[in-house]
Amino acid sequence: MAAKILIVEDNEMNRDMLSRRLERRGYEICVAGDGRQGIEQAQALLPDLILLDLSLPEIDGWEVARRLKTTPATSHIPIIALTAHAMTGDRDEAIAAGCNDYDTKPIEFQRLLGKIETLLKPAAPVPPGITRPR
Amino acid sequence: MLDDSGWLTAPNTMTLAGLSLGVIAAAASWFILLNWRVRRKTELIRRQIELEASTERREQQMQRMEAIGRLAGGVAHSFNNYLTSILGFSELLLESLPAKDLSRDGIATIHKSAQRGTEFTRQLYALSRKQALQLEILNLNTIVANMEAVLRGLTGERIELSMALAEPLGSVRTDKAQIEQVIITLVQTARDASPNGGRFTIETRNVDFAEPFIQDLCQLKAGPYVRLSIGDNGAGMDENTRLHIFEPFFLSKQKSRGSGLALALVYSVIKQSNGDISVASEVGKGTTFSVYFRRE
Repeated sequence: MAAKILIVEDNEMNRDMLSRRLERRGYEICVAGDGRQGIEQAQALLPDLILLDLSLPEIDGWEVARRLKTTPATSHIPIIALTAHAMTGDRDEAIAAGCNDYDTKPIEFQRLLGKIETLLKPAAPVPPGITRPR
Repeated sequence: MLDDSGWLTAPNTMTLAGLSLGVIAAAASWFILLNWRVRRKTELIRRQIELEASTERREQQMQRMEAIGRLAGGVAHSFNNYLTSILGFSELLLESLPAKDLSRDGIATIHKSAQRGTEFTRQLYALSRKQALQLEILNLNTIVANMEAVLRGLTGERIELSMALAEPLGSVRTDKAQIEQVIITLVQTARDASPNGGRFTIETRNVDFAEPFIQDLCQLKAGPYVRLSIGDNGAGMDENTRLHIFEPFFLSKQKSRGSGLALALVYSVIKQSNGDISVASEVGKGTTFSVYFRRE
């Protein structure tokens, strides 16, 4: 069964590009265009991994990560933060907000794939009572 | 005038002359003193005006550099989003197209240009003074000595490169890779200013400022520092160039080589590393860049 990845990204072109490239690699993709939608989609679909842009409208990426990581149903989902900022402070803030990893734009696709595969490999333990829809 | 017996008598010529001379001498002294005081006051006012003007100019220039940094960071952020799409879609197309497709070359060129754009935005980020530096305790003599072969390669045979490295030299806290790039950029700048060859000097020494040292944008508190100077006897620069030398694209307007960001990056990196940089230059005589780091 293909792993499901949620892309939370407000830039339509980047969202489209990432979706197509990841679909080609066999992943099932769902998308959200702002932070609020991102939280709703994550709670409704319980994806295997989330690619989260940090500069988002409505609710920013850091807050999205904090809310998902403090909600029992979604706390186990690995999050890779994506940002057009390339500063160490951003990385630290993303990790502090609960993100499992971090990557910068412009995205180096092979590097990102490596991070996705690493986080998906050891299946994250699902909290009791939570069923992961496929 | 009274005589010895108390009678009023006419003053003799000698006495009058003496009196007149005394009055003239007193008036002259008073005039000289007044003139000196006026001159001194004028000089003090002139100095004060100059100081205020130069402080204001320096503050404006520093605010300008801060604003440029913020703008550069903002531009880089937006461009990284655009470049993500350009790189991503061109890679997607290259993955999809057959090996012999005629469009591949064009798409590969788009991809390559976007990658260059990525390098450029990396430099713009560096200008916003928020990049990560690996600060460590270093000896600048070791760094310069290890770079000697590279620097001689950069300068070529027409430039006589001499080194005057003070021993013992205090340690400084900075980023090794960044300071190496700073030295290379300053030597390249000196080389560009010396198209007909010349003499370069790289000098290190310990300096101690009893009072704050202020020169153009360079502002150092009193204390112990290590100074690294790179001097040339090339074309030199006028005051206006010297004051704007660290602004992005300033030198590129004057047909310098490079991206136009090199000296702006030097300024940014040194400021991030708690150092500072000053420039002394005279048209036709040459330029010396002096980098200061607090001595550890």
